[in-house]
Order: sequence, then C-alpha cells, then structure tokens
Amino acid sequence: MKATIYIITFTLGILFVGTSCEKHSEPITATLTLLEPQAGDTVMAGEALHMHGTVVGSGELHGYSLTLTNLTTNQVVFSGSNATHQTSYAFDEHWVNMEGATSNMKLSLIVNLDHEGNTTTKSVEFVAGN
Amino acid sequence: MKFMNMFGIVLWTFSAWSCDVCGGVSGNASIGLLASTQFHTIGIKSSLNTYRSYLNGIVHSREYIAQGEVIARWQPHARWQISANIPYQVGRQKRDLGSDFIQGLGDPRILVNHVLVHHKDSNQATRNFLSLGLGIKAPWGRRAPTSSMIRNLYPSTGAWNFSTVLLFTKRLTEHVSLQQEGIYTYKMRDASGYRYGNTYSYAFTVVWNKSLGIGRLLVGPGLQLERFGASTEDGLPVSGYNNQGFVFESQVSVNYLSYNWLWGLNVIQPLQQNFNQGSMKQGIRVSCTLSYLITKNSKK
Repeated sequence: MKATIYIITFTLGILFVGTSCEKHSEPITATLTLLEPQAGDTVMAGEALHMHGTVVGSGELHGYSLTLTNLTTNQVVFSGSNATHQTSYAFDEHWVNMEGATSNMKLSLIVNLDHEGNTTTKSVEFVAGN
Repeated sequence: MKFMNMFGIVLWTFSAWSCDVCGGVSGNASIGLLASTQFHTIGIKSSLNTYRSYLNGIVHSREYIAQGEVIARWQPHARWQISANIPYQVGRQKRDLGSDFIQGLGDPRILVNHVLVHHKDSNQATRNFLSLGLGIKAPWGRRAPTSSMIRNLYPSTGAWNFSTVLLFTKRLTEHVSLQQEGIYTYKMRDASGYRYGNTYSYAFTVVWNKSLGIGRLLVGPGLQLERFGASTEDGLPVSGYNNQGFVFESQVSVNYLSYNWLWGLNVIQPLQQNFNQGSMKQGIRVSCTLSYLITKNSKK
C-alpha cells in the first residue's frame, strides 16, 4: 500500500514539474487584428466609428485595453480595458465623432502577455473629419 | 370545472418579439398549442431570450432580452378569435469594454384568427382543428435612432409586419394530439429604408394532457424550424452581415389549468443554427405565462 502511494505521489510530482516547466518554456505570443478602422479612414462629424478586432494568443493572455486618442488635441476620447484571462478576445465598440474640428486620431490595442509588464501593441491612425 | 373536459385547450404562447438582437426574428406570432377554446383570456407573459455575438469565432458580446407582455384574446364568435399583446422590453448587451441597456415599450400586435375546421366528438372534445390567422405588428414601440449601432437592442423594429398563421391540430388518442403550425411574416421597411428579411417558421408539437389534482396538466414537446430572409437597405441587399439564416430548435411547454387559471412554462433550446454568417447564436429562451380564462356568456 505504501509503495503504491509513493508511486502515485512521484508520478503526480513529475507531471506537475513537467507542466510547470512547459508553461515557462515558451513565451506567450499574441496575434492582434484590427479590422476597423483601417489606416487613413475618415470618419465625418456625427458618424459612428466601429472599433472591431480580435486578439488570439498562443496561450493564456492577461487582458487588453483599447484607447482612442485625438493626436491633434492629445486627448483620450475613448478607453476601455478587460482584465480577464483568456486565450482570445474580440471587441466591437463604437465611438461617435463629436470632435468639432478635423483631427488626426489613433486607435491603440495593447495586450498584456503576462503580469510582468510584457505587452504587445497594434495601432492604426485615421482622420476624424468635420 | 366544465372547461376541464376540453381537450386541446389553448396553451397561449403568443410570441411577440417586437424586436430582437437577431434582427428580424420578430416576425413570428405563434398561436400556441391549439386555439380551440370557448373562452376569452387575459394574461401576462414574461420571457427571457439570450444571444451571443461572435467575431471570427470569438465571443465579443452577450445579449439578454427580457420582455413582459400583457396578452388578451377575445372570442366574439365560435369561429373567430382576436388576440392582441403589448410588450415591454428590457435589453442588455454586455461587451468586454462596456455595456448598453435599452428599455421601452415594444411593438403592439394584433392577430385575427378564423377557425376553418373544428371537428368534435360526442364528448365535445376537439378531434380536428384548422385555423388561419392574419396578424399585424405596428411600429409604435421605442425604436432606434437612425445612427444607432445597437438597433437590434431596441424594443421596436420600426417597421410594420404582416403575418399569416396556419395551424392544424389532430387528436390521436384521448390524451395525445399532434399540432403543426406554419407562419409566414412579411416585413416592411423602416423610416430609414432598412428592411429585415421575411421569416418563415414551422413547428411540430405533440400535446399530451392528463387530469392531475385539481386541474389538468398539458405537456407539449416539439421541434421548430425558423428561417430568416436577408435584410435590404433601400431595396438593395445589405452586404456583409444581413441577418439571413435559420434556427432549428427543440421546445417544450408545460401548462397547468386549474379553475380559470392557466399557468405555462415554455423552454426553447436551439439545436442547430446558422445566422448572420455565424456571427450570432441564439441561446436558450424561457417564458412563463399566466392567463385568466373568462367564460363566455352562453346564448341559447
């Protein structure tokens, strides 16, 4: 009986160590896709902008954030974040252009690969027309 | 308890989706399980519909549509029934980065049903029943502004709908009957020129009834296929997501009739679906109904 317990404990230990090692052997990567907007798009005043995209990780990701910045005024006009741990994300947000003047805009998607501050980013620039 | 003898009483599941996340599923106006009663009815119905929206196979939002309805049916003549309902809808879309919450009155609906065939046996129990109904849904509920990105979350589609409902019920044994229901809904365009595609549905239900306690239990398991046409804008096909597709569902209704009260629970579970290029999936739908049956004054 004791021998059996030793064997089971040893096997579980090996499995645990093996899994742990594997977890750290390859860094997590993520593929970021911004479907909308496209670079150079123009969103006229009063029109809605679709912010549409996906994130697919090679393993568990640690959240992401989406930030829309008016580069002309240097103001953040939209931001949101999701801290849940998932292997993939999709977002479908919208923002209505109420800027009042033609502005250069930048949408940034930042994905947290771990909790040590490693991130990957994708951005797209477009124009908010008036 | 005379009405307990009626085999094939109405199990009132008058569906009234004034609007829905699926965009245009609203067309169907099911009469429910056999409309062969001799009573006026008034009641309330609560329902919850759930959906998930996908982008490249990844969930990006979850939608919850809750409705409360006042439903009524008036039976002016043995062969004519007029039913109406007014829904109030609460819709919520939960996304990764935010949520939207829209509530308001939905589109009222009226359905005039004519009984074409009603065969009864010596006990006055229904053997065969065939009816044809015509329904109208008026766009008087709260509708989305033209620029809205979440128009499907609003209680009203903003357009008139016209439905045709053909219902046939056949009694198989003392306790079992078979019901088939076909519905076609033609949808008009809204003020902005957007038009949801027409819908078709076919439902097949086995109705089992048994006297239980102080009332009668009616259970109706069945299958349902709903098909949705493509949306158009100013008469031209909508490119990309156009709300076209189908949903094949299983459903079960459990009802209990006691004195003049009819309690009902209906659960619908999609089995297979392909809607809007797979960008949306309908989840389970649950509804509860409580109706009061008003006995007609007999004319002798």
